[in-house]
Amino acid sequence: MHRIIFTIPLHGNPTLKVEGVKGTKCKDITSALEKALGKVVKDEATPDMNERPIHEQINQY
Amino acid sequence: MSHQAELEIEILSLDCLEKASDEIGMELVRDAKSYKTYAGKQKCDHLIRVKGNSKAFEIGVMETHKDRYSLMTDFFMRGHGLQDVVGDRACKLNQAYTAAVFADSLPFGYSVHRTVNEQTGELVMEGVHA
Repeated sequence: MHRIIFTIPLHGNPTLKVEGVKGTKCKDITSALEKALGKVVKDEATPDMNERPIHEQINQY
Repeated sequence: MSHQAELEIEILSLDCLEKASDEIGMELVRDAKSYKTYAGKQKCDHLIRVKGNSKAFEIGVMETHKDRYSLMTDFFMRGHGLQDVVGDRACKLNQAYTAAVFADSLPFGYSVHRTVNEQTGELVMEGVHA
């Protein structure tokens, strides 16, 4: 299960956060959303993004 | 958590602008050629007006590029009721628009939950995929 959390303040820019996705697949999940919403002004990878998905780890053995 | 982005919102969808307007008690009138301000009628491509308040100034919607819009209005005298509905610098309309785009753009299979912080007005939308 994963979650997309979108926080929209009354003033200022909203932020989009993905939880529960390992690896760079989170980018695939949010790219269409980001395009529909406007321009990305700041983008940060969080620790899960640098972890390899479980199926890739299994394939190593 | 794996990825976090800050976004600058652009108005790219008239359909979502229409939903947002309806959500806060306004209505989008497509193909309106002028909108009402203190200085009289100004040119526009569409307009947004307050439902049930014919004295309120209106918001002009201009198509600046194909499928890309900007909003113009006049808040003199609080727009005769307009500002009370849309908020300062149209913040309530912008927030409702952003929420409408998010809900419309989520791929199939997500359930959406909304939470509003009554003190700050911040809206949190959470899309959950099982």
